[in-house]
Amino acid sequence: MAAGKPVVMVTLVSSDGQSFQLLEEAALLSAMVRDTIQIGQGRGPAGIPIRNITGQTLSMVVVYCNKHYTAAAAADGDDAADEEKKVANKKQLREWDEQFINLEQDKLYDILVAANNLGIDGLVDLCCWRFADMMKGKSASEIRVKLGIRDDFTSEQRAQIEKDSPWVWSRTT
Amino acid sequence: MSLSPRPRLPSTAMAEDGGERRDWADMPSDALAAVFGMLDVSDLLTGAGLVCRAWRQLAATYSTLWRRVDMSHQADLMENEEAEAMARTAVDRAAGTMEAFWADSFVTDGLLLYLSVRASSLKSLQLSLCFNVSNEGMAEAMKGFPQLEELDITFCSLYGDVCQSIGKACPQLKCFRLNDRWTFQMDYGASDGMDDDTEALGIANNMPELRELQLIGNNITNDGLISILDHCQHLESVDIRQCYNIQMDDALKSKCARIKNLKLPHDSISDFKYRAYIVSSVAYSGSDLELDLFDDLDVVTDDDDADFNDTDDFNETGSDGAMYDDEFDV
Repeated sequence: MAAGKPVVMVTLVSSDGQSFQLLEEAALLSAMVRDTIQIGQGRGPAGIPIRNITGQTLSMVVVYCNKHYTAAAAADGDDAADEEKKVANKKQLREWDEQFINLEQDKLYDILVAANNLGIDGLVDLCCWRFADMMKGKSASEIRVKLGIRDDFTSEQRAQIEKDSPWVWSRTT
Repeated sequence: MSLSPRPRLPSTAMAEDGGERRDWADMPSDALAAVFGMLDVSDLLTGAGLVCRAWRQLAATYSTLWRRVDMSHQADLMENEEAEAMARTAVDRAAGTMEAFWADSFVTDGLLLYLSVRASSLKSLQLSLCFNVSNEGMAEAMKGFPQLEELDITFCSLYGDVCQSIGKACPQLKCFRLNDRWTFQMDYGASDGMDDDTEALGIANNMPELRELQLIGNNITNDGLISILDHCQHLESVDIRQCYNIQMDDALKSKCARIKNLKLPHDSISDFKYRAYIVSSVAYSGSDLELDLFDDLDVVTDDDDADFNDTDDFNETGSDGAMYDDEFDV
């Protein structure tokens, strides 16, 4: 961070009325926040209302933004030629990410939807990675049970799947 | 549960027990597409892609998911027929946009030809341990891949004239790997005639755009390699590990001087993904190679590096070449 640069804070307000203050630069990881500030809103004391996202979820999102903003700012200050350090820092951040997203599925879902609505690409990717990891190697029925998804195929569709996917019957679907 | 229409945006609703219920089936489709993009073909075709209507619809119609299909390391997970049927479905779903197809033992001439007429946009093809692909089948299939830039053939029974056919069919080929096991060829026992530059000349005369060439365990001689270096002017990377017919004399060294990344016959194979197959063939003294190959379908992944440290150390002493010579004193 350049010295003398004014510190601008921004406030995000969750759907249940909790306020979170963070550096504007960290909040700008969200495309939705970017758009709001670009049209000259959101800097006032009322902050930016974040609809559909509860304080519990938003607090996690703020932690993510702060961490990634800090890591990016630190990387800017580093010697650009020091490849080894860059790789090490990147690895460290990835480890932090994986730890951060190691959540039970309901929380993961909430953060995924929040990150998607707020337009935080890195966090969407991270949630998707974790979600994919949960589904790897699982049959359709195992996934349905785990995530509480209803089997909504019609009998015609089931017959079609049987026809199109002969391999399916060596496993449980 | 009723069949009421779902809201377009995902939401959390109150379940009967009063707790919040997340509707995973209603995930934003771009997020779901990103999740699906991180899954294997077999996961999409047997698991996630068959969970519910919405998910099946996405897996079946979003062709980007099938642009890069990696079906390597599937052999120990399913029957060959199953794997082939899945591969064909993947080709269908890519709807002509497939750019990469990587697979192992289950590939047949029939599957390659299926791919050939439906995936003319293919840029990368990797085949490992595919003993059911013939030279003729390969040559015919390659005609369908005019845009191919990367071709990796590792431990298949493809050799000889096939290099010429490949080169002619794929004028844009930039990366070519044809890896074999030195011991595998020794098994045929003919000490004369083991020098063989058919493949080298096929490469030299038909692959002018090559940047990267890997020929592990090939019977290539100095003459063959010089021909390649003379004809393939763009070559930057050459890997001739375990090509024990090559003698790195002064003439060859000076020819190779321009190659940025050069790996020599006795260099360590510790970074070669399929090194486990080579190591095991030594342990079995080259006997009963068929059995050996199928017993050992544990492909070495990058994560397993630590397991092979002993072997690496051994190779780095430079004694591996000598060992081969002793084992096969022909």
